[in-house]
Amino acid sequence: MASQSSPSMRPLNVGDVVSAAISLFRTNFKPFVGLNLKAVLWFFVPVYGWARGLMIQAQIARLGFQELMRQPETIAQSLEAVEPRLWPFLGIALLVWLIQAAVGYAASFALGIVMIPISVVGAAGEAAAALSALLMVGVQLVVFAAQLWIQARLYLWNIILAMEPETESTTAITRSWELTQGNGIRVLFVLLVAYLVMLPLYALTLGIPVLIAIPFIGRGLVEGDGGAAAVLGIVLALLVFIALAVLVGILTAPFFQTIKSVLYYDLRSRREGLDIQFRDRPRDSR
Amino acid sequence: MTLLKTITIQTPESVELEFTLAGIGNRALALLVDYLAIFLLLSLVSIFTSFISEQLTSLLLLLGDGAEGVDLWLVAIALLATAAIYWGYFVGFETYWQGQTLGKRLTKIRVINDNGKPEGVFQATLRALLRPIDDILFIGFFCILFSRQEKRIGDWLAGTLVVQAETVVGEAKVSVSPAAQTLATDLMTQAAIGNLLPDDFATLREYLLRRQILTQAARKELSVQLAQQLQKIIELEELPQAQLPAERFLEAIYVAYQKKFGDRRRAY
Repeated sequence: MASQSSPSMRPLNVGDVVSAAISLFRTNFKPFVGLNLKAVLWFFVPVYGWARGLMIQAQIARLGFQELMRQPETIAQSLEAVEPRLWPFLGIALLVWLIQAAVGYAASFALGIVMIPISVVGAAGEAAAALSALLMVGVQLVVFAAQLWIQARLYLWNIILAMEPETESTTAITRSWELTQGNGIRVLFVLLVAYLVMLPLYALTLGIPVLIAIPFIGRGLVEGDGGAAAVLGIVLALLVFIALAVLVGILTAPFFQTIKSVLYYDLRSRREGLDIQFRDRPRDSR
Repeated sequence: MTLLKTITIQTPESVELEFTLAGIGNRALALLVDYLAIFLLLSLVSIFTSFISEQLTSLLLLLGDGAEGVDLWLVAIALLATAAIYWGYFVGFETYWQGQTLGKRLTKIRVINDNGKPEGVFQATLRALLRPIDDILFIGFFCILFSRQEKRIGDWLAGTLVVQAETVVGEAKVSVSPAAQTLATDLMTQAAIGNLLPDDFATLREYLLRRQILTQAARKELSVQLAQQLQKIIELEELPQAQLPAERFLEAIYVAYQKKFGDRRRAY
């Protein structure tokens, strides 16, 4: 009864981006997880390995996008396309990180300036103290939201590097800014829903170690020598937690790359009319 | 590439209806919105209850009676109210809005009967009652993810599907410049507007509707590209005006097609 059909032409809504990314990931589960495993192993090698790992993750995003465009590539083909840009992946990653750090510092500086008068007001009395506490929380939330928003606007840099060889490496950042213009909140909501959908995996990562630790701590309490058993339980739980976290990381990272594939497709449709083409005519593949 | 699952339902009258399934993303977002709404309602109730309980206790103390029994009663009432809000929210909204809650309306999805009919009170109730079971250990989440029809346990038992609500296409208005209107009459005599397929018209309309949110560069490039392709399709050797802006040409073809075919040959 259930069948599958071609993607709709129209730009996707927030939930559809996540659903589409999941189905993209599921149909390519083995190759994408395999590639990501390679990337994670490369991350253990300093500098060169970092560049290579970042490149491989962008390669996953590229493979996903090509499939959305119905021009699927083999892993070897996509490697050929992204490999010339090995070093820019590391360079731009550093640059994006620096921009975000700078914004963070600027925000906390501004926060400090705003906070001082608020806390002075707070000294006036009980009601004023409550008001100033409320204001402080509000200001902090605004700063946090601003940082998230910047992150969303710069989110697509790596797939742009992987997809658009003719553009200058450093313009990948401004390209991401331009593509997400007017869509920052949408990108944020997509990421929120993506984390929401991955919540069960994260919950298991946290829940299983706790379940393992409880009997040890419980036995320690019953038998009196709480220390030794509890420590053993906590160490065991910690080890399980680390193993699970690595596993979940390897499994979910490709999903966030396919989120980038779909977002890139969607935003290029919205901002550049990628999907507005006459039928049966060669399309512009950039 | 298969992105969003669709489902075909055959009605007893042998009419085939096709729906796009809601998808895990939309359902997660809808659930988040609904639970936020319920949380807000419950907070209001708890504030109200604590206020009432304080007032009532002091009133009873003032009257000289003991206040021991009252708290228990209030707790019972609060528990009942909580259950009523939790289940009533879903049953009420889904019945009243034909399968939609606040979150589902926001994400444009809808619960329907397996046979394509609207969801009934009984089904809404069954879905709501099973919701806590689906939430425990994310059972419902995994069911949606791995079943072909994206059903959680509540959907299996109630015999319901969650699908995307149909969006009305063709309501938005395309704005056309007056110059294009006059150009359209010329084009109708000079060019083979009949060569345009409904699909081509839909593409053209899509461009004209969405051009304002395109980037400047993309808008220019795309309009020229579409205009060149259209010129070939409608077998127009020479443009009626030299230096004709591509967008005006596109608008004119849009108007010409509409004048020629009206509502008879539409893509939607």
